Amino acid sequence: MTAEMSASMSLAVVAHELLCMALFYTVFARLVKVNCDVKLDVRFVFFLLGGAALFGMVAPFAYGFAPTSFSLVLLTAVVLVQFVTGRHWMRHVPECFMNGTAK
Amino acid sequence: MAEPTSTASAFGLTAVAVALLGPLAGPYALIAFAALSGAMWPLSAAATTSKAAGAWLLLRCTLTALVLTAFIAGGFERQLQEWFGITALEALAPVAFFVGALGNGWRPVFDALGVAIAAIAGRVGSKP
Repeated sequence: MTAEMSASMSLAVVAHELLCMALFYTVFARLVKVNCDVKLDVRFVFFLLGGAALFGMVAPFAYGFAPTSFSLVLLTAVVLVQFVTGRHWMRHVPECFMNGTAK
Repeated sequence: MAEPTSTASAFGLTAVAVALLGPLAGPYALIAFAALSGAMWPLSAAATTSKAAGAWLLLRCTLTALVLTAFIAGGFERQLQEWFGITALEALAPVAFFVGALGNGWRPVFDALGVAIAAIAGRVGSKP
């Protein structure tokens, strides 16, 4: 039973790490296209999201964070949102995120 | 098909490795990732043309943050312990974050330092 619990926890940590890496990559891909002409709040929230992804990567090792079913589901959902909405970032930053456009 | 015991023991070894090595690497990984997090702010402001250019900017800012943070930790370790009762390792993550967020902003500081050192060296050298 102990070995099974250890195995499931390791699998959860591995899944958590992979999801955080995927999330970081999606944020990085967007930030490469972003510059000073993008609205400050848009830049800031993507900066925060990237920081959250990196914090998530290190949390199991620095703080002993144990991923739960809910945290994995939430992380998966956020990663999926990033991938699906990525089509709007293929060529450039969406126009509505640029400075000088209406909110 | 692998026997359940061999798969379970492999996962068990992984869990033990993570349990033993994780806490050792944890604080240092936290500092490195804090520096990388901060470095994402200058990335958001810079006009990078490709993922490779963005990755290079991230790497430069992160490494600069790590080096400067190490200097700061080395210089103020004793004060941090005496005044605030915290170890240098605990204080380094926020420092690395802010230094990383400054990004290329350190370049003018280093340029100014270089000019000041050159001026002092020139004065010392010109004296008889």
